[in-house]
Amino acid sequence: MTRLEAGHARRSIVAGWGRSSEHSPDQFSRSLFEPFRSRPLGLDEFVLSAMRAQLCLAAGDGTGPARERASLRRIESARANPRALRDGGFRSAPHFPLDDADLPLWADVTAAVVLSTEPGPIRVAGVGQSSEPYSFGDRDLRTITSLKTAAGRAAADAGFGPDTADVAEVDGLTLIDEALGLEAIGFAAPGAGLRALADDARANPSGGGASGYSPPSMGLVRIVESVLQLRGTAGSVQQRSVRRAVATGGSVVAGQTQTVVLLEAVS
Amino acid sequence: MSEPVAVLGVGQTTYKRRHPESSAADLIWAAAEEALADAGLGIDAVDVIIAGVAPDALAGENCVEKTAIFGTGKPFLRVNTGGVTGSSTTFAGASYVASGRARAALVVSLERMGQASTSQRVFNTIFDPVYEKDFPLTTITMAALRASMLMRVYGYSERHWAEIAARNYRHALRNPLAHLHLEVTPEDVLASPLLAWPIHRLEACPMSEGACALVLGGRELAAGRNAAWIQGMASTSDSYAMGDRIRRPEGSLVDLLSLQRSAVRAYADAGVTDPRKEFGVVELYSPFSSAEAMTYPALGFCAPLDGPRFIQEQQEDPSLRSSTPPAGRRRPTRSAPRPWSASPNAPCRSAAWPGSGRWPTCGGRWPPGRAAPRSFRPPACWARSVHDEQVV
Repeated sequence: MTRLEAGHARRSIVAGWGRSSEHSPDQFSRSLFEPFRSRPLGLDEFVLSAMRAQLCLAAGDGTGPARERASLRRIESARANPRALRDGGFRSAPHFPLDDADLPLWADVTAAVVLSTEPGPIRVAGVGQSSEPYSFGDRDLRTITSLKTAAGRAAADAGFGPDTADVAEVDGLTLIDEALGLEAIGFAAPGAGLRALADDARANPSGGGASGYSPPSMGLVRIVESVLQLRGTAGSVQQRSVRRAVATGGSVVAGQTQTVVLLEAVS
Repeated sequence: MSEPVAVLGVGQTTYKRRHPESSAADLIWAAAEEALADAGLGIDAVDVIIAGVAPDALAGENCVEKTAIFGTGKPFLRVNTGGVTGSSTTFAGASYVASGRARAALVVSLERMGQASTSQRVFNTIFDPVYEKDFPLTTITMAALRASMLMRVYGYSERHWAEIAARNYRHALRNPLAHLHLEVTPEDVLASPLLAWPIHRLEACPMSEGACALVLGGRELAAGRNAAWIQGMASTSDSYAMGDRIRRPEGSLVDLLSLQRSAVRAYADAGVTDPRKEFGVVELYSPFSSAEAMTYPALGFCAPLDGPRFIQEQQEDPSLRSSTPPAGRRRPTRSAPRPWSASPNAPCRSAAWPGSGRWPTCGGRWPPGRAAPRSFRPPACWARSVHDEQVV
């Protein structure tokens, strides 16, 4: 996008793909950790997500009917999404307190968008990026500060915030990560992320990670799903009257780097 | 570009086989702090960090660049375009500044190749798993195929490769950061073991570790500074399969069409019409002597069939052989064997120094008795594009 804004190009194609079937996502995840002090502990991304879930439990969130409804709705949305994986895929083993339904469905995923400086039906209204320290001990795992900061920057860029979006497509490795992501961008109040996933049809209508997951492409998939919603062509997961959408993408480890994109339909 | 982009500061570690005393984060910050100090800026002045690392497998740790993030809130972008990762990071950083999304960008590239037990097994994985990987193709055999094609098509000999290598070792002797400081003659190169005919060991870059950093900024930050301005830059890719590039009318596998097209565009941006005369310094990224020879015609320094003579002229003309170029003369140099992902912005870093009146390879000012280039047009090089080095 910066190349377009800088005048280096008029149009660009942006593609992202991941092939979970070609490797062990768990093994890859473990190799993200520092080899001497962290890796021997057997840490992986799911362990960190489980830690987040425990923080939610300790705060009184993440349990009860809301979590069950959120989990159920996520799977139902994925079943309704015509672009979701129908057969195949696989899941990693869950760490307590996560369970199978909280985990992503590993899949081979490819997504692409064409960006242009020429006027079009959907505009990129705002973009924000941010990062957090490498050591997760230095972070507030529950708040996802980098995502919160990125959302603030995107809002400043766009002149409107994620809380005004008609659809939120939030990237998260697990159900808990998606819920905390909704809270970080301000689409859900603190502690209300799971309730939003359970009861708010605007929150991850695509089914999120339950539709198929492969890390290198997921932020782009969230943008594609948002664009389809804005166009009114999302199929059976289409929401009504979508004028604004927010899409997020987070990267390892535990969402250390984050991007938030605000999109708007041009009438 | 909507906003002009200047190189405000540069930093670089030494290059060596391994840095056992330093973590990846240590190396990144050694280069970054030097670049920030050179720019006279603190990290707070930087709005985005672009980090370049080539194959993760070389470091033994995935996304190793992220270990260097200590603070919070900086936009951070990883770039991996294989052999041109360094210049791609620079391009990305410049785009952020040119677009107005950043006042200053910290661009840093890292190579931890020393952590790999065998780099060539890692490099074998960049080739097509069905048609090419079993040959087995590596970066060495890939370069050897090209070198033999250059010999057949354009009349190069092993002696030409040896002379290029000897000149680069000679330049590296004056570069305190270089991995190897060796007195090497063309005869030494020819006597060194064959890696894959016609490539001898001493004409191949060694496996090195190190990091290189730039601070890029716009007009506001460059005001009052002796900055080097980026006057042109371009990047072009080529088809993945080497076989697709052999018999095509616009340029074969050894004509570096992508570099040629990048050069045309960058020169047009910069207003360069006679590159051989107009550049005061040229820093090329070439992991093998034969790879360097391929860049000469692509960058417009000579016609393709004149490549062997061009190399010979460098041997016969003392000013072309010197590591300190007079104004208006090019200094073709691989100057030091470079690591992969740091190397393409290491030339950018070196090319930036003359703009500030300092000599990059001597750790200080221009050498006594030598005048700085009179009409230097910084920076003097924009190296190679994606598939030239990444996959071929």
